[in-house]
Amino acid sequence: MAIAVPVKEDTRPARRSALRRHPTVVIGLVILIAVGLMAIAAPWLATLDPTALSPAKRLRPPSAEFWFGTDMMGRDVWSRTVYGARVSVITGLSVAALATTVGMVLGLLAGFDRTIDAILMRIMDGLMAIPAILLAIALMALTRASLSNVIIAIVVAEVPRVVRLARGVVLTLRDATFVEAATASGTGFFGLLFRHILPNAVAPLVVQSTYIAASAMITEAILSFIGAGVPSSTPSWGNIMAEGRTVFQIAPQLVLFPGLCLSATVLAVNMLGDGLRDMLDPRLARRVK
Amino acid sequence: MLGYVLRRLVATIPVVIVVAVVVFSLTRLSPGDPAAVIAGENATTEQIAQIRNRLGLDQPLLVQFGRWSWNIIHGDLGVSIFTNTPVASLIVQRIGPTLSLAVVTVIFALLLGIPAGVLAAVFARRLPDRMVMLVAVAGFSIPIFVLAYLLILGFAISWPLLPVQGYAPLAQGFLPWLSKLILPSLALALVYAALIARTTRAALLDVLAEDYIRTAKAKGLLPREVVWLHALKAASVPIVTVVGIGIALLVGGAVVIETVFAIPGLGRLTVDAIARRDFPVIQGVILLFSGVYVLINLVIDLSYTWLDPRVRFA
Repeated sequence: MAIAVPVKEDTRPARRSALRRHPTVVIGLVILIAVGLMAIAAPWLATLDPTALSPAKRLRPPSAEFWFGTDMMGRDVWSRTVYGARVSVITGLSVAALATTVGMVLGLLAGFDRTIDAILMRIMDGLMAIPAILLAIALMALTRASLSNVIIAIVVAEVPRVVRLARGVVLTLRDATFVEAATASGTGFFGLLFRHILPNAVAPLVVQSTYIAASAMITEAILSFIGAGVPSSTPSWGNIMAEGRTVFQIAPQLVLFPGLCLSATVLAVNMLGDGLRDMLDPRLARRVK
Repeated sequence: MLGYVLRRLVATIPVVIVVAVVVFSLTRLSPGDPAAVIAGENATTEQIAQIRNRLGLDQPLLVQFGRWSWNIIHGDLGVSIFTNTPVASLIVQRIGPTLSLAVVTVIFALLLGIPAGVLAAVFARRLPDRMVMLVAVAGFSIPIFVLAYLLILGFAISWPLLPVQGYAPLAQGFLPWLSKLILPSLALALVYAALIARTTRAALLDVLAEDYIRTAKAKGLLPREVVWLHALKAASVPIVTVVGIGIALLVGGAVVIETVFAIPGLGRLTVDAIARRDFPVIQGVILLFSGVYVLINLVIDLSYTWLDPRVRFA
């Protein structure tokens, strides 16, 4: 005899189950929101003017007055680090958005037209043969040091990877049965593109865009660190570290605090990317990266 | 097999042409007069004209490209604007430290990455796997120059085991050479090892699920023989591929690591050239690094004929 057993209602808060199901996404998002808030609220979080010089107070160790100490010119490193978050966040978001958009358009074109494909992919192969950092360095050496030029240089270096991924996705989808069925039922090119191809290409591209954001943040920091990035008047994690380089043995905090902030942010973006990949499509684990 | 080798060789030609066009265009596509950009803000009109004439910028673009490519093919990479020395000689002077750094880094990356990937695959979804994957994510996330400073702080300042920076040529002895390369190579190898470990794990997991692995186990082979002799050989194609892709990481990383550790190699030459806007040097180094990348990946693609019989008999 079957006995009806009342189903115990799940009373756990929804956020706990989200954390359990996708811990990397939640942890990554929490860290990124904190960094985003730090960037937005920089004027209120900074204890001093990040550009104010005070040679009498140079190279002070961390204290209640100067949380992260002061640099060679007596500037407050905590305030500079807080403002530095702005450069990283803006670079990561802008490069991810621009590179993904440009790469997706080019990848779609290549996926649909054999002639464009043949030409475009040879160009992309050539661009990919030039190490991304070197290409960005060369482009920066040509232009004036500014955040917008840094973003453009990194976008140029990142686009080929997105094109290759988008093209691959389109080629797979173009031969899928549901696309053949849509074509057979008379769906036009744009209907095929917007109703069938694009919605299915979004997941891998979103995942790829998170990896691009992480890579862009590192590239920006490297460019600023070697003196080819944002101008030194704008605090960025890379140029704060560059300024602390010569005094690292006596004041390691100048390099370590901004370095750890950068590492935590990039780690959070990578965790978010890995989590999204597993969440959206476990098979992507092999296709991207 | 010959068909595959020929196809692969022919496929390299357009890549080389695109690299050449991009590198050539770097100075020509800059906004404004490239000669003025190279000369810098305080240059006189005569100096700008002199640079324009020396670089042949007064010629039609196609003629410039033709002459430039012809010179490159003959090993003439131009002359440094700052030191007035041929770029090829500057590269020859600086290649030793970078080559040493690259070789030691690749050895470290393979020694760390492959065993870590094997460990993760053998203990899939258990503690060793999770630990390896955690370190791999950290390896991707900690920028190499931050890691470099952490290593210096740990192993050269707090615990003075190794030199803080500098470089000693191999001619001064093996130990001084190696001791100065350990920290920079480790910093550079971690991200590379993370990439290799992830790929080794994924490739090995696929292979370990195959029937012939079960047969090998049924024959009574020891687990380590199954993994190291049978499975790893079959999983080697993606691993070798990623070793080639990682060369690009290594090249980009060398620029930063040589700055942090004051190593007088090609990376340091590039950084100095940027500060001086010495374009012939920047172009020469990019061409060299891209050429090495294309060549290594060509060799790796050709190695598939040895690693994978399906390629050999296709």
